[in-house]
Amino acid sequence: MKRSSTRSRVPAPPERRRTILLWGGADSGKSGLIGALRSDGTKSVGERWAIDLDDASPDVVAYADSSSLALRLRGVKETSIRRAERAFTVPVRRYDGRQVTLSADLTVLDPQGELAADPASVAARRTLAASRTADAILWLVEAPVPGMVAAPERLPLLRQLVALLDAASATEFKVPVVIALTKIDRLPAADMRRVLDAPEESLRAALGDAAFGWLLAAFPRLRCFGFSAAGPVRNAVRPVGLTTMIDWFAAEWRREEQHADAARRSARISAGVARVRGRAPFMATMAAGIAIVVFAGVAAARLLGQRGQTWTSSAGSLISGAPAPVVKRAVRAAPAPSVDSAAGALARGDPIEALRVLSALRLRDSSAERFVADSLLAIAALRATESTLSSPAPAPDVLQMIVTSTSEAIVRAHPGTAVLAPLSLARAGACMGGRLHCPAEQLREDLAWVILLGAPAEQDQARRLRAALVGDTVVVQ
Amino acid sequence: MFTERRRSIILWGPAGSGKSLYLTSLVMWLTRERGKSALAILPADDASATWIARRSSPHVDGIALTPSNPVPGSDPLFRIYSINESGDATGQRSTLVAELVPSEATAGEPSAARLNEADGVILLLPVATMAASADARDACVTWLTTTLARLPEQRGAAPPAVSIPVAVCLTQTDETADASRRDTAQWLESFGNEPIRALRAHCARFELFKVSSLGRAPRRRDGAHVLVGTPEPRGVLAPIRWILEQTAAEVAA
Repeated sequence: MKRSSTRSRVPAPPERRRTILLWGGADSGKSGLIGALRSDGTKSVGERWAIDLDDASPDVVAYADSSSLALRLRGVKETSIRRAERAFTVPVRRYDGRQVTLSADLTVLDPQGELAADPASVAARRTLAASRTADAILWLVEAPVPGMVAAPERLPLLRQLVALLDAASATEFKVPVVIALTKIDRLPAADMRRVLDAPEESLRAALGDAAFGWLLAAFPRLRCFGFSAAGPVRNAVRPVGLTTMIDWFAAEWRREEQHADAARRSARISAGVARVRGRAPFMATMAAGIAIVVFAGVAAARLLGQRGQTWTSSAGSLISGAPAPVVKRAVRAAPAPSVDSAAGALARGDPIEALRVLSALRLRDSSAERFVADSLLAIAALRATESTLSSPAPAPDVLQMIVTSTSEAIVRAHPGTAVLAPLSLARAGACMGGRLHCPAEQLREDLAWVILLGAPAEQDQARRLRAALVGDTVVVQ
Repeated sequence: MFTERRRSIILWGPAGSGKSLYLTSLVMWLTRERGKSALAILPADDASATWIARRSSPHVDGIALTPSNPVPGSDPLFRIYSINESGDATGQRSTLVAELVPSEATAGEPSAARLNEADGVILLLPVATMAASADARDACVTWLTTTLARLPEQRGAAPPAVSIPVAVCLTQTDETADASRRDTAQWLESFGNEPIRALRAHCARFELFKVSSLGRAPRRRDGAHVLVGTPEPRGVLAPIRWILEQTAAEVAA
């Protein structure tokens, strides 16, 4: 089969590369989907998604080619499919004629359907952890055919669903998810039409209300499709529903980006308003944040169970194992809690004291003083996190205080305001560095806010923390 | 921003009260109820999922019920999701609203800490078992009164001092022919005045429910309890909805 390397290609689009996770049990139609994507790669007209095998390993190429061949020869000659043994990722590209208009990665977690059969196994859990970073999930379910194919068994479905959530340490997947009823070309024409017109009702009828409820619960952004890899035309591969399914993911991603843009605009407007008010040292907060957020490496290392002393905080390079010098603080009389005394403590290089003072303040949430206090609190929390985590034996009570005070400030902050970034970063750093067993969802949201709203330096730190959180390799720059 | 404490509902009942069957009906057999807010229940881990699934097995006439065994490993945990079929303003079709924590009366009574953090308690009383034997009735009534006495009281409050919502569910109702016509309070009072008196004395907020996890009484076939046809649970979501409404009203207030 001709490889698609001869196809004209455009430079990679500037936007983030998205990953679609392909999942399904044995005989669910995974090979059919790969074969259809391979077959569509040989076409040069029409709008379609196709697999790009240019950099694929030989076993993946063999899998795609044999799947495509099996589709073409269906009903004519029995063709064995050479399934890849392990999970793999390949690019898929959307073509309009010869022009590439979109690209994404397709991760096939379980080509042989072995993990789906025992989703609670250690191997399955390790592989399923990839779902944590997926941008979309495509779950294939074989459509029942009266007298031929029974309705999907519910217990395996439930176990796979629970295993997926468990491996991702999540209570739901917030990414777009497609459940595709596959092999619908084997249905009578009227039934096939019905599945295409009302796929959700068809899936509900096949699974029952309770099992359909599981899917909605685990996948709040669920959509169902009918899909045929081969299509209804004999001796030809004319996939039905393939382009529509993957196009829906692309549309959802665009919608996410629009929402993120709107949030960023809103944050910029809020920041602008704050500057005009001149009431709070907001830019100072941000500048301070850029200067001092250097604890992510330590927090990540502590989370990963490594010795914090072997990591520098910003560059990620190795340093000597000598303990960091302990800065002795002079014993001072406790100042009367006020914004001024907190600012004074901060200026003296005592962010922990500043944080204590700010935590003790009782101010109206809507007051200008509160606004100023929370801006100071963001600075103090970041510095306190850094100084605590850089000590040989980080004090858990201080880290807990950081979490408590930033949590209160986060509740007070208006959604989307930029002060959320340093507050969230400090909280996430303290949670992870102190191993405080903060809710995983809270950590993810904190890091998402920082990546969304933070200054570039803060975003970098958040990415490092997130990599540690999801178990990826911490990228050392 | 996730700051809210996760709500939890504790499911409690004496041995044989139908806890595992109730959970199985919530997870496996729920059907769509027109005009009512939809909920879906998911086990939190594989052990809980397989435990629930083993409570029944396919039978030529329907399903065969198998006795429940303790969950291997950790305590079972279930999650309750609110389902919005058409999606909310952001397109989300479901939200996690609470956790359901079953607890064995003998082996694993909920700790005081867990009770203090609970937003509601569901107590199961097996009416068919209670009606069949005076000993069983006395044991269940005693269990109920001692359980109510263990619920966390609001410090300094005048009786009734237990402020968390308590849903008392009469289970095995499908074994009584006129269950649908029976008044729930009178049914409970038929086992003596003590349960109702104890509820009124302890609980500021309580409600009584009739629950049928199967919808029909199982029959004895081939040495097993077999439900002919498919289960059609009745009233199983009502206590959960009531507790969630109570909690929501509390938050709103």
